[in-house]
Amino acid sequence: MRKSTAWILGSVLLVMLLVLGVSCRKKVETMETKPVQEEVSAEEAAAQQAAAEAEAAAREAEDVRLAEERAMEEARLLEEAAMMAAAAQMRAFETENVYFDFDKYVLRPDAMAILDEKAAWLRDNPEVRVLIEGHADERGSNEYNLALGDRRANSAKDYLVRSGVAANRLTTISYGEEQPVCMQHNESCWWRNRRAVFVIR
Amino acid sequence: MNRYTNYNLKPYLIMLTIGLLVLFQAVPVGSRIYIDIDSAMQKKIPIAIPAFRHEAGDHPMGIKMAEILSNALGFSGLFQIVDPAVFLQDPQKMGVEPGEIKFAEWTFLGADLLVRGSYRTEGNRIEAVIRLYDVIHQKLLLEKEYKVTVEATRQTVLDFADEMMLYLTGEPGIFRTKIAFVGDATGHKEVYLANFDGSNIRQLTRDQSINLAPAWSGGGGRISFVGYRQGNPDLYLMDLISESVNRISHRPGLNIAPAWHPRDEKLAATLSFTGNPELYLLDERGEILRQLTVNWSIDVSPSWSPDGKQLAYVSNRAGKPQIYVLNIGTRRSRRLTFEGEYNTSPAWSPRGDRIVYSSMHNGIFDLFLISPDGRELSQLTGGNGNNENPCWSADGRLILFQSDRRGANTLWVMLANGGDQRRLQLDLGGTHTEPAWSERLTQMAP
Repeated sequence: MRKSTAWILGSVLLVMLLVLGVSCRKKVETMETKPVQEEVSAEEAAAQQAAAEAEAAAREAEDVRLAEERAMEEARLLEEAAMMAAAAQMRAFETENVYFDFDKYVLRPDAMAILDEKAAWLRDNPEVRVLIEGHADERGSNEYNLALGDRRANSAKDYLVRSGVAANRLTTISYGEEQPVCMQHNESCWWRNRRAVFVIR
Repeated sequence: MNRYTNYNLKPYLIMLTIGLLVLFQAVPVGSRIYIDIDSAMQKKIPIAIPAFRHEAGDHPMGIKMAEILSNALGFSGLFQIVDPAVFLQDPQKMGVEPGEIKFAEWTFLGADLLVRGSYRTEGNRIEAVIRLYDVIHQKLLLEKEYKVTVEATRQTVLDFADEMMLYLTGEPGIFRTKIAFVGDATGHKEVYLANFDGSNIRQLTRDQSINLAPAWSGGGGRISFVGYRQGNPDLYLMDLISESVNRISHRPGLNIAPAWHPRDEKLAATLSFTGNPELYLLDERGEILRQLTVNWSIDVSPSWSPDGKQLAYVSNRAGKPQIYVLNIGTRRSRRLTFEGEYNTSPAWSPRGDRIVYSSMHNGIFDLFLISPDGRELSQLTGGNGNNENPCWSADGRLILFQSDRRGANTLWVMLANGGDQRRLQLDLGGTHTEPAWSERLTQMAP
């Protein structure tokens, strides 16, 4: 019994010694490395500082680069927006028709407002040439409607010329009643067909 | 072989004159037009046309020839064809020569006139004798002999119909005429050609642009039209035999509304290169001979008087489209129409005494007739959709026009008094518009 108790105690002590030994060796190691470190820092302080400075400079350069990129992106977005606006204006120029009353080729106030926009756009885009199509609704003879379409296209052209657009940038063609955009035989369609259409050439 | 040309002419001329006076009695404006087809039929001359007799028994061509003649005479609006179903004898057994005709039987069937034809065939040749009899007076009126190829049968029968009309009315028929019109069966407006009755359709343009306003040049060998094939409404001239096409006017703006002078090789047309549609007189190469109108309004749709001295046309110089008449010699225009707020498409009768035009009232277009001095206004169509773009047959008896009474626009024919309105039989889909009727053609283009 006594012999076994001594064995257990011995084992416990051994374990404790082993544990202590491990922790002591750890302590010794830390105590040993510290002076080494201090020794390296002292030797390469200048290099480290230079590296830090380089790092800061790189960060700064990166910031500049990012700012530049952001500015470029902003500029690009602005440019894109401007281009889209210009494209929209161009689309509006082509899609926005001028409409007329039955058997008439005088310009209504709403037609003049649209033509004012078109004239401004044409002044801003001096390279653009335009074909003005004159159309009529189905009522009346084909020939009279061809004449009506001719006068309608010329009414629009004359207004643009008076608004400062060079006449040689504008040509006209009449399709009379031959190219309706709306096929029903009533005013819900007729007003849409009595139109001048603007096509960029 | 016209042995009986002047035989017993007078009774029929008198009878036809009375008949035509009744037929051409116009309906005054204001009173509602009512076209009584049955009473119009009663005024027509009943005529029996049995199948032509073949020398050697049954032959299909005899029935065909009688059909061609019946259809042509029926088309003229002057005759009522007696139904062959009521004939008392087999046409193959009926007599053909003057001594063999049983006039009493035809009188019994109500026929005033009888056409009897006989023929024999030899290979590709056909020899026919066609006779016109006056049933009431039991007399032979007209006898013609023909020796032609089988292919020429149809035209031969139509030539006899023209001879008949000449004999009975003092003026040949319209069975050697053709009709040009605009059709969109292909999805594009193209110019087509057909015989007077709508048969034998031929497509003249096939450029898939827009082709409009066919107009016959004097003599009938050429047709001018408006085409967009080169991106602008330009004037073209087509030779119907060679089908060669020349662009005769391509000035900026409109080059439209061709109307050939009835005698000389020149035409009136609307050009808008000045910025305003005006009428001009052009030579056949499209060179301007003279400007015909000078004003700030639309001037369009010219139609010549048969003597070529006056021009009816449409102008909106008074604010709305009205018909005007220009005296070519004095260059003065006078307004012709005052009734109606929207009058277009004048067509001067080949007889010279009437102008037909299209007038809008309550949003609907109808055809009206007026004399060149502005009197005797009468309404020809009514209650039947829109009726537009009228033109005349060469004898001035029929008017051809477009009507949407059955939905899409198709071509219709009527008597010059508005009677007997019927659809022209055209075996072609799509819409049919802007008809132009030729004068009598000496040479028939294919």
